[in-house]
Amino acid sequence: MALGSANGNRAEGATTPLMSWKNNLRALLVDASSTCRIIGKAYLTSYGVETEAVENGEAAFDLIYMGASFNVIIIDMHMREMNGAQCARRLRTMGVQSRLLGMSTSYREHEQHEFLAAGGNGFIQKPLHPSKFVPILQELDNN
Amino acid sequence: MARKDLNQELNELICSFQDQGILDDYFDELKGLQDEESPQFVTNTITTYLGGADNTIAELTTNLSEPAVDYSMVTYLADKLKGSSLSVGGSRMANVCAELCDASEANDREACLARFEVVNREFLTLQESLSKIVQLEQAIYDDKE
Repeated sequence: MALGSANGNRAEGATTPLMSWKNNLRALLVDASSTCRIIGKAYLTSYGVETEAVENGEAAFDLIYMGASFNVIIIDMHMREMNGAQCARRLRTMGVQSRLLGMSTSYREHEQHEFLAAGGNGFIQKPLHPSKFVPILQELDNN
Repeated sequence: MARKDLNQELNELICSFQDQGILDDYFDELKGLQDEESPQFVTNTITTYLGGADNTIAELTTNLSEPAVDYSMVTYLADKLKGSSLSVGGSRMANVCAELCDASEANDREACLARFEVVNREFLTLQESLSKIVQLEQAIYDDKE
């Protein structure tokens, strides 16, 4: 079985992920938009990543409190109740060590600084696309 | 109508919308996520988008009609609509939402109202286009069953 490699051929009717990994990768997507959650989860799942998607930071915290763990948490930078930096800060305070990525269609410099200062690790642009998330997943899988 | 004809009609319709700039190439990515296990993925996603966008536009209408506009809320809503529109390949819709964001961040009521009018018009176009896609997708699905 090819590890961390792309298999662009999906047999009709098959549920074989487009990529396979050494490790069981798990992702959490935190996004206020139900459309973005559906598409983001479908994309990550199709690439073999076990993915949860929640609407806001509080729902993410609840999952963590219940014992869920993730290799990567992708956080919408602009949510109604809290922004990406606030969410990241709280996750780090809770002891979460996952890779934290801020996601947005566009960024202000101060938002990026705040997110990184809050414990975030980097950024990924919306809408999600394999060209953006596969390199990150490969890095996580190799660590 | 035979399934092959319906698929061809759907592909031609999508290409037409892409040629007009209503949809961009990302819509092809969305279609690529549909498979035997999720045969109605496109229909379900579009339906979710249209419902969410309707609600967001209603909230924007309410906010922008307030005597004192909550610009941070307008920015949030416009940004949310921008992101979801991009996710279904509606880049033209996303661009007009971005312009509304800019107007809101400048706390410019006049500009917000003008840009919001454009958002509404663009949404009607996108909604009509996506609805046609859903109709064909559903016909293809029903033909298979």
